[in-house]
Amino acid sequence: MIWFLLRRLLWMIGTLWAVFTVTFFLMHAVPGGPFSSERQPPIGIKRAIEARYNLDLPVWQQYLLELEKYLHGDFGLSFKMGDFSVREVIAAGLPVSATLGVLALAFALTLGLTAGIVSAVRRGGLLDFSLMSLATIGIAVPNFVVAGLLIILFVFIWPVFPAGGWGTPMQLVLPAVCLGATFAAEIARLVRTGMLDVLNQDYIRTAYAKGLMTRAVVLHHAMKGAILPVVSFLGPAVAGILTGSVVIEYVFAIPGLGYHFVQSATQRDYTVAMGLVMLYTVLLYTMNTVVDVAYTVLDPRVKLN
Amino acid sequence: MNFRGRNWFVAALLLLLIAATAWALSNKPPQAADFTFVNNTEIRSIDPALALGQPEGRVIMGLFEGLTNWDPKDLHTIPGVAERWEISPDQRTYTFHLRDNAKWSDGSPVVAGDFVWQWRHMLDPLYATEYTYQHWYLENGERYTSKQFGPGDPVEIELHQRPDGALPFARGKVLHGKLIAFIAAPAPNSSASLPPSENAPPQPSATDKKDEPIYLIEIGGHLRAFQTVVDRDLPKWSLPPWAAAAIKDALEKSSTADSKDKTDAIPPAPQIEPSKNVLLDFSEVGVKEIDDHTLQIHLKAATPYYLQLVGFYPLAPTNPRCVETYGYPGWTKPEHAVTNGPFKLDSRVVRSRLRMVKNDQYWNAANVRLNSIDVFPIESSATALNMYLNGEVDWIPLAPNTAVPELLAQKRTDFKHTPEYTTDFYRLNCTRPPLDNKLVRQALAMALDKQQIVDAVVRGGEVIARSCVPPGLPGYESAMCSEYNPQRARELLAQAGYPNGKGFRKLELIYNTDELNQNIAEVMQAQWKENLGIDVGLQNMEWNAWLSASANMEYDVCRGGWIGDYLDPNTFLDMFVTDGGNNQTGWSNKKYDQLIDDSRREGDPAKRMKILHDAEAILMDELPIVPIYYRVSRNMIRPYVHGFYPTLLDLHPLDTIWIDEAEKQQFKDHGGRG
Repeated sequence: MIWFLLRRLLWMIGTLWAVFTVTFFLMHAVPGGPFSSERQPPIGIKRAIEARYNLDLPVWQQYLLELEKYLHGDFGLSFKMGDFSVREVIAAGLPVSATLGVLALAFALTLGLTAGIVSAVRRGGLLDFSLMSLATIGIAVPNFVVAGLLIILFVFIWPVFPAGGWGTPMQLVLPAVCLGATFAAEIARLVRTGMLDVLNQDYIRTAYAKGLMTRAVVLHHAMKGAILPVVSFLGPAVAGILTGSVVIEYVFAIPGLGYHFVQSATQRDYTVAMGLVMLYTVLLYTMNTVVDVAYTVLDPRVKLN
Repeated sequence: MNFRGRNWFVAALLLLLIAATAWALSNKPPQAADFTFVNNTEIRSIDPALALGQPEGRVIMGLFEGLTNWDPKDLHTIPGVAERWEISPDQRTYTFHLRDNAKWSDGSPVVAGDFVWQWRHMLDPLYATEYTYQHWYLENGERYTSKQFGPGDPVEIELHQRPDGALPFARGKVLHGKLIAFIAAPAPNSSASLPPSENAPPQPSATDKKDEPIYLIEIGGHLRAFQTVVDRDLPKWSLPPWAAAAIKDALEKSSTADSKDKTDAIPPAPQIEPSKNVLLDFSEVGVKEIDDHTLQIHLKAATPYYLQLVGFYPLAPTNPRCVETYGYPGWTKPEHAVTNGPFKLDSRVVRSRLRMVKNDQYWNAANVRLNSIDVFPIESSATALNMYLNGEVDWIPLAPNTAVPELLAQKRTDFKHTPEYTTDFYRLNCTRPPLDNKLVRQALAMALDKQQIVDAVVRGGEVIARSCVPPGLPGYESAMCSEYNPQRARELLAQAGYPNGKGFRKLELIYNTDELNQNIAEVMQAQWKENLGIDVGLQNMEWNAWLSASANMEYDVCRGGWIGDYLDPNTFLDMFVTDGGNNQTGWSNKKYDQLIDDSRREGDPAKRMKILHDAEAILMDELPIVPIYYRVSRNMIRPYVHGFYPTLLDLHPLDTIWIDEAEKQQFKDHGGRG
């Protein structure tokens, strides 16, 4: 286990370096920069500004300078929101995205697990059909459409929730539901498939033969196997949810990482974009490792290698 | 899975959920502010020097105050920190008298030196910003930023070490002297040292990084030599190998130039010292502190709109003590920031909320009626509109253009829809045939039915444009280009050698990705096809890609637009001088350049406007741009908000805004929405 984690850590450092490099050169390959604007300052001033941020150097020199800064833990100031450092942007955005993410995840798990189990048990019934149709729609419909519908319903027709912003618990509800809906649908389908798979196994028949109630069989015996696909889905999903949903945060004006991510990419805010890509890499990597470890806890057939 | 494993999993999740919810709930939202508005984007900084556009302007105009202010109704100049001023007959010297009771939010007085400090800071090439050029109206302002000086000029040397007792972020120690010689470094690839050129100013070059030059400077009768080194490189700085020979060479030359007496001993070569910067002496720049309350400004040329300009928000002062104590960005934090405007910074969460509260130290605080203002930086105009309609904010400055027809149809009185000092146009690349032919450009312009574009596509009540400078400014009459005339357009195109578009190559039209831009471009494409028989390919581009394609002139036809910075035709017209940074069409006209230059010298306002009109007439005949329409503002503001007026620049000082509480209550009683 220790060796496994150590090896993973080493790999992570390599991955981070590779991601840093690719991101850096991709970012500098797209046209425009943080200081391109509809209003061009006189050329001398433009040069002075660019020189201050080393943007006048050849790209590979900029790369080495940036890499050096990163190795020293200096992520720099935001280009576009100069009053804030990348650290401050992340420190302000991560808890926001995490809160929203955890709420969305709780909603998705509750709804997804329930719907999946019910569907599997009532296989072929009307309930199964309607739940799975809903789930298919949930996966197919992009979440900004869901957001639009919910805003029309719960902001304008039946005004219970605010239209956007951050700070009060009421402002959390709509975005959490929108963000969780797609994941709930995914989880429901995964659980149903996993459950159906398990319910046909011999040991389930044995459990029934012993005279156990359906409820006990499903929750205590079948769940074990059925939940495995969900766990592997949850790893990357959690990382994605924590770093924020790009669209949802934009639509509801939530100051989370997803919002920062989109803006930094479109505005060529090199430092913030790089910081977020690195953070995302770390989170994704960590979550995948956690999933691998969770597998050994949940399924004795899997061994860490 | 064993029970312990699953329970642990569920328990951990529950715990996380509870913790997250508790955290969310513990962040009690601050009490609602008196006045709330949506700012379209997170601002770059509250530092006036770093301002970029209107979003920064809305905040900075609340936090800071310049020498003059702009009247909220029509933006004419009214006193600000300066209570009165005198202008010399040649209109080049302005003497501003600062009011005694102008104070910073920490209680200290706003003095003339604060302006000098801030303006020097903005002119310093180490801190130059997008709006630095607004100080190039000052005598020698441009020379200071661009390091244009030669032997014999007074110079100042900033050292890396700070003077004793200076604040932690103060400027380095400054020495004053006279430049004796400027020694350029040899080109990086050639080992042989170049002959030192004495008159050429150092040319910062983007591609070939060579060593910094060496300056030979006489300070108090002693000869000293300096080389500029950036902070980062200071520890590893060493004497450049080419320096010794070059200095010796330069000394020989200068001593022989100084005196014909060959017996004069060549002074010993001085040690080279590292310096942070070598600049023209700031005393040469046209801004002087006469005393604490008198500031004298000397301009390069008469600038009729200068009084208005010094009220422009990027020219507002910052507090030198505050900036030098905390540095940037430390001083911009709410706990440190010191401001001199009607409001001060109370709190700020990035991309979430900026709270301003009334500044009790402000000289006119008695007339400021708002106690607090919340600014929400919200990028999506649709979200902003939702929040406005749901009663969550009092003002949104930009309703989404897709919603405008509906808002107009509803005849909403809170939708302020007034002309703006903004023109939307298309640039034509005058360096690429066949667009280098004036007849072709005229044909293209005349073949566009702009009324159809405005009525059927834009649908926001915009007015079609036939000039570069929008109408509405008293005293100036815009010069117009021809009206829509497809018949004449065909004749012009035939005259240019393309009857019915025969032989005319396909043009590439680019615009930044946006539904409205695309619809307009498609109509233009169809009109040009129908009226002239020419083909146009459309290409949408991501914002930054479009900007750089425009700047590098990698296009045939390119969407553009310009928002006036100040209320004077010059803000539009000086854009199209030869090689202007915002010209971006390759168009060049000697007569036009001359007229723009003449207008800068003309002291008589009426004559000056006539000159500018003549310049615009050339522009509208040559047509490097095809104006399409003048923009209109899209403000939505609650009826209970008073002191808010439509203005041509769509700028709205916050200090005069007040809320009628009775009306607000009435609005709330009726549901507080809609």
